[in-house]
Amino acid sequence: MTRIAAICAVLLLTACASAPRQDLGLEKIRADLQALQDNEQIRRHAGAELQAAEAAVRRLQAPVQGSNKDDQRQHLAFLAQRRIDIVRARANEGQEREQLAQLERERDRILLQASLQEAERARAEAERLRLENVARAEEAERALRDAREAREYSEQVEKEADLAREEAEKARRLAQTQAREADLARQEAELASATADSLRRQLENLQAQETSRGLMFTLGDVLFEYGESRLKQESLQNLDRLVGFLEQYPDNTISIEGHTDSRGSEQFNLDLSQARADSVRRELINRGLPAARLQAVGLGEEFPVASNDNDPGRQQNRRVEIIILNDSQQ
Amino acid sequence: MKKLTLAVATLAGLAACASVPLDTSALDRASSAVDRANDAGSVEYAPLELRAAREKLAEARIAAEERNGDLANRLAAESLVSAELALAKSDAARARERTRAQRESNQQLRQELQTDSGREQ
Repeated sequence: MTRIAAICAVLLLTACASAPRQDLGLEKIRADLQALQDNEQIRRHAGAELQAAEAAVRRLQAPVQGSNKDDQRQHLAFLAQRRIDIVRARANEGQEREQLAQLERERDRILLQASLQEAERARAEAERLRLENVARAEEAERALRDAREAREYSEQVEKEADLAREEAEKARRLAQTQAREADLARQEAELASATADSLRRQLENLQAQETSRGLMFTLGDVLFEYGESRLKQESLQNLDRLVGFLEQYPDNTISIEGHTDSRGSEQFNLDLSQARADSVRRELINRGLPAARLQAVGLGEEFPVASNDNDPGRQQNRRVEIIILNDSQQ
Repeated sequence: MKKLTLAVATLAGLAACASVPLDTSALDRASSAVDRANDAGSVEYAPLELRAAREKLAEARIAAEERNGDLANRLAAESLVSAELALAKSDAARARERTRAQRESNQQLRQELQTDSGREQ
């Protein structure tokens, strides 16, 4: 009894197993279709092909009528299988196209980057050139400045040289001036000494003598023409000196006294001596001495200063004496 | 009247003879699909599918000659899907080739760009 049941079960199992084996192809096709349907990418890339595949699978699952059912089922399975393959191929193509589009965008980006890089390089090159130009301009400016400084320096040096030259010239002129002043001083000194000499000579020439009445000058006989009262031309120069001397005593009265030797008549000698004294007085007045200060007197032969026995004595006696009278004598 | 009866009878007989009527447009569609697949380079990219499509098209024509409409229709349909699969695979393969070429081109461009930027620095 149990054996029969076991056999029945085995038969039943065998019958169960044999039916799905024929459907193995269909099961695989369904699973493949399901996988495709679940794939978002495949639906996107091959939507139409997927619909065709779904239709093919539906026809495969539909009840088959007609004589040769197996052939028909095999045919429909072939179609469904190919439709599924087509879906895969088209989806694959779509993915490739998508990737291609992405790669083309990437290429565009690369080219853009390249052009940006090129632009940047051009900009950098332009900047480099600009900086180079700036540097050149600065160099030119510096050279200009150096030249200007050099010129200014040389001008300064020239100016200093001019200044030094001027100072040297000034110093030279100063030295000349000093030399001239020294010369002048020397000349003045010489002049002073000459004046002193001249006064001394005058005194000598005029034979000045200190007397009790005052300072006395004797104009010698040689100053007059023989027997005349007129002064010789060369005596006038002696008178110049006398005038210069007398002017130094502006407050004193001056007495002009004429003398002769003993030859000739007494009256003649008195007249001659008076005439000669007057002649000298006149001459002194002519030269600017005030007449009031001058008194002239002829004393004749009464006051000889030497012997009348020989010529040198007589010559000494023929004279005019000019006395700057002391204050007490006036 | 006699003539009309004869014609109807002939048509009915023909119909009875071919259990499934021949779909000539299916043969045309399969043929042009094979041509498209061929033009798309399937000889190179999907030779097995193209051969299958051609063989099935040839068999379908033979079946049509033999007035086996059912078989001819099925073979024509199988030739059509085979040709369409060949076309799809060829399209995909060409797209893959273009993608690969573009990838290589991009790589080259990138290298040139890096060389350029390297030269610049």
